[in-house]
Amino acid sequence: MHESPILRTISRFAIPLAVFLSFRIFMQGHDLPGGGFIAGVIAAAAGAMYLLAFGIGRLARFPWWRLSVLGLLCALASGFVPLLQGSTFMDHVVLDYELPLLGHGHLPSATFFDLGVYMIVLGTLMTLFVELGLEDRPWSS
Amino acid sequence: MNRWLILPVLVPFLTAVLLALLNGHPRLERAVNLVSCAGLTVFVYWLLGHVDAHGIQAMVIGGWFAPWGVAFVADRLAAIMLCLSMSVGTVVLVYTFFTVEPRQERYFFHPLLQVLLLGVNWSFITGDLFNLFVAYEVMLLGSYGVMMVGASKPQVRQTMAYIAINSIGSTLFVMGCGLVYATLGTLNMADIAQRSAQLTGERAALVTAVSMLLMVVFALKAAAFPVFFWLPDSYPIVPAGMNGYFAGMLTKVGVYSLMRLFVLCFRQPGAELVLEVLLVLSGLSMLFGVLGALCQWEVRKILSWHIISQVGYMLMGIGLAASGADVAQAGVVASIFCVVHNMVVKSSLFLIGGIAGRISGSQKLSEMGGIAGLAPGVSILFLVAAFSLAGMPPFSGFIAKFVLIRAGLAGGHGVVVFVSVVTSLCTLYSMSKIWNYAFWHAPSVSAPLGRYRAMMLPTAVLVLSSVLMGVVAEPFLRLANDAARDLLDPRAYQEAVLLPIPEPTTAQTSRLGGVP
Repeated sequence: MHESPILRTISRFAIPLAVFLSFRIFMQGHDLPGGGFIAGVIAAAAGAMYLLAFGIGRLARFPWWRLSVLGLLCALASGFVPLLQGSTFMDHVVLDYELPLLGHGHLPSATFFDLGVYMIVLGTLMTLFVELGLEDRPWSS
Repeated sequence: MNRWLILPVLVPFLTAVLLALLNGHPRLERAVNLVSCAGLTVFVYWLLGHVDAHGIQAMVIGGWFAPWGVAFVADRLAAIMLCLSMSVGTVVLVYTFFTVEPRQERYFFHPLLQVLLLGVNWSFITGDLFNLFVAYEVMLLGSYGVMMVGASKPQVRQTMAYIAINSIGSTLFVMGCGLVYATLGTLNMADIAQRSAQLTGERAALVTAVSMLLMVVFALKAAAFPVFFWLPDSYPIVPAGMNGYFAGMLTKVGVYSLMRLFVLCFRQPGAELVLEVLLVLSGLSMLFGVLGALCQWEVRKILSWHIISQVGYMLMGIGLAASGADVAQAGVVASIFCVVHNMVVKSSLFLIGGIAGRISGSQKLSEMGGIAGLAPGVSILFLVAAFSLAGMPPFSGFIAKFVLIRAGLAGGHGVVVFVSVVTSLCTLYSMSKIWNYAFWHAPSVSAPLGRYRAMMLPTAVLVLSSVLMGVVAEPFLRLANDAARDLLDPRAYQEAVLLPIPEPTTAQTSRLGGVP
């Protein structure tokens, strides 16, 4: 497709913004509307914009499907922790920590589940975008 | 030990993820896949022993309580089915080592196989109707993948039809779940059994109508009459070896769900109506399945049509549950035994069909011939499996049909019994057709076209276990008897699922302290 300077200029601003928004929505997902799924979709939208503005080249080389698989692993692993601690699979565990500057906080195991969802959504959508845009697919041949 | 009930679901899930990451290293993938399957097989046999000795085991996921959280329940029936799923799965996996093409392995054959196992195991062990739906979806996802793997043109064409028909089934299923929740206010199977038993009048009739919808869904998955048409077209295109697992397991998941829901769960007055409908459908499935098989001239097609007629036998046993207590017990025992027998024999027949195809280079009876001379071992395996399927003594098929026909006669259902005997004879006829054309006749090739000896070992394991089930039937029948009693009297199941209050664990205590 034609490479449009307007699209390129806008996406230089829009993509970092979308990535930040995606991070923000992911983090607030524990207590407020948001979470891994929608944040992953937003990040994938940023990826789609990049593909449209700058062509298929650089992003296509990244093995996106592996990100999905790793996300699945991450989500599964979050369920394993309570199982090994003597509770049931997918029970909720909270990790309390004390950090030098940030002070006291807690990290629920659900965060890692959500992170897994984020990775799966981002990875799957990007795989679709890249695969549908490519002439020669890396797996075939 | 209860929290480890999740393992039959978790192990395939984790293995699938690992195998996807290992994509591109076929040897490593095969090793990991085999170790995972074999390990889980050992676990589920241990689980069967444990359940048999200590009663029904249940767990609720994520530290919730029973009607709200998702329950995982292992009663005898679920444990038996898990054992079969994993044993047949492991055997088929070893067989596919000799048949799968490198191209298919690169297209994620190994992870997809594990996803299929995950879905099948999950639907056996779950104690929640909506979770059963999810398990079905996972199973279907795996089966779409395995069917499409390698993506040749006929595969894509047939898989599209298979996906379409199953999407309709899934839509009806999720609607059924919604309606059950709307009428009963619960989706937990033990709770459904409890609440539906208390219903009367119009409310009960409403639940019966809703359960009829679910019956259609499971009949579709089980390929019963009149919703069997998708099966004979789609199964023959599944890669050789894997079609053994498809034939052995997938339709039986539908039969298992029918047994679980209509014998254990729906107990409202008037629920027998669904069972009576099933009894009629069973006779028609037997008849139409075997008639379809008679006019086929391709090994895999004949075997696929026979799946339909065999499903008829299993449904007949379930249908008998509408009769008096003794007949119901005998019918469900026969149905369980039929399922077990059929999973083993049907898978082995498909594996033998694969070997025969490898030797003669075709699946068409007109292009085959003389395998008895080329490979005597294969023909012995086929004879044993075919006789077992047709119900000749002393093989497992005879025991299954004997128990079933005795139960049918005790219930006074002469017509269905007659149909089942006729079907049995026709089965024998169509098996002898395969024998005549593929194994006798003049050889179509002078020497076996491909290497097949290694494929015989996993096949022989299945055939031998079928013989074992027929010769030493006593312990198997005893187990089926106990499993049927668990189903017909839901009290033990309800006690195991609904009552236990888990002791606070370390993780839960830390949660209480952790959240502000």
